[in-house]
Amino acid sequence: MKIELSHEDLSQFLPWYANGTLSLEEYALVEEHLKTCGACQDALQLLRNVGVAMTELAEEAPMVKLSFDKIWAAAENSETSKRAARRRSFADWLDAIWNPPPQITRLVFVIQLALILGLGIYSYTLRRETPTYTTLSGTEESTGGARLTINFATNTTVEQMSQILSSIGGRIVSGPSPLGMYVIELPVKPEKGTEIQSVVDKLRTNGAIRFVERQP
Amino acid sequence: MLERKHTPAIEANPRSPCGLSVEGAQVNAGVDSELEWIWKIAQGDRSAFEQLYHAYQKRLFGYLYRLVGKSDVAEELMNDVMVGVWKGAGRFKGNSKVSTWIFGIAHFRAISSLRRTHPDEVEIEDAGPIADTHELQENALIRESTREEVRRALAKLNRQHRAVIELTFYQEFSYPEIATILGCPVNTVKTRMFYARKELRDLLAQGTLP
Repeated sequence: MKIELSHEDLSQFLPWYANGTLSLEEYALVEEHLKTCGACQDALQLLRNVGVAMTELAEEAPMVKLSFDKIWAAAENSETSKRAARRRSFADWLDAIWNPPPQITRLVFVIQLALILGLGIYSYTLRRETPTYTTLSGTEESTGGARLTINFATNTTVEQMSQILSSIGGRIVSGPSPLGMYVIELPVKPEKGTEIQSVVDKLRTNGAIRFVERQP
Repeated sequence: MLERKHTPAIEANPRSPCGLSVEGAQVNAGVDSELEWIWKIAQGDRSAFEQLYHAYQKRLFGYLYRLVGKSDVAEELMNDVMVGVWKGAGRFKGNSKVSTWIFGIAHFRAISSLRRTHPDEVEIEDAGPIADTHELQENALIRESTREEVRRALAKLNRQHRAVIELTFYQEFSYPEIATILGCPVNTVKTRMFYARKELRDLLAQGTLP
């Protein structure tokens, strides 16, 4: 596709046409335009003169004896001061932590006090909560019934144990201990000694139970 | 917008109708060597830094001198620019040529210095309509100006106009590279060049030269 540019656009390219840095496309467009544009031909002639004069002018710069050592010293100095600034900032940071300003000290004290109070209240609340028992039958609170210590015979099955517990309305609240002892809670208040004793007697007649005793 | 194919300005360019010889540019060992120097400088290599310094010393000092007009200030700025190169080499991404990057630093430092000492001379027009074809007709009147007249007119140019002329004709940068150096859009470069040419034509046409 052929690109159409105005005389003004193309005349703007002339300085870079003169120094040879236009793209190939721009270069070709300017060259084509120059064939027919007298004003641009004159301008290019002037720019060529400008180029040569500029070079002459540039050569007139005073010859100053520049020293690389001076520049190197300045570069090194900037590195040294940068490193020193880094060291200084780290030392300042440590100092700020070790010797905090009074406002920070007060703030830290208040935060610490709040934390101590919070932890104290939390710990007190935990102690006041009623302990719960975790047994095979789930997590339930004690009903306050009388308790028996029972040791089942070795070959007693789970079904037999369930039947025995159902017959007395009891439930396991602890066990088995390393010796195979279970703690059973009865739906009977501890004060009702007769009723409890009859349950104990009944259990002692059961062949699946090796040992049963009322807990004090 | 036309697609730009970069032609390294620091290499001999057979397409240059101007046929200028850029001494400072020819000192360079090439774009690849310059990149290598920058990588080494980033590692703290003094020898690479010294090589880069010697390659740029003359053209950079001349550019700074012509911008600020005082050799002691130019020398101070030169040190400043080279320290900037030393400190900034690790951040050079290679998005532009090394020469464009260095001249960008130099231009920025020089303009900052001028802002402190000659604030009135720094702010120049950055945009404006460029459609005055009448001005171009004057070229016929001044094309026969002698080289000496042109040289003296250049010496009288506004500093920033002369900087665009120098970056184009002496340092042989393309207009996108000049935009990078000056830190402005390419259209601003074209506008500044337009006004630089206009000022030059006016100086030559008015015969105000001594």
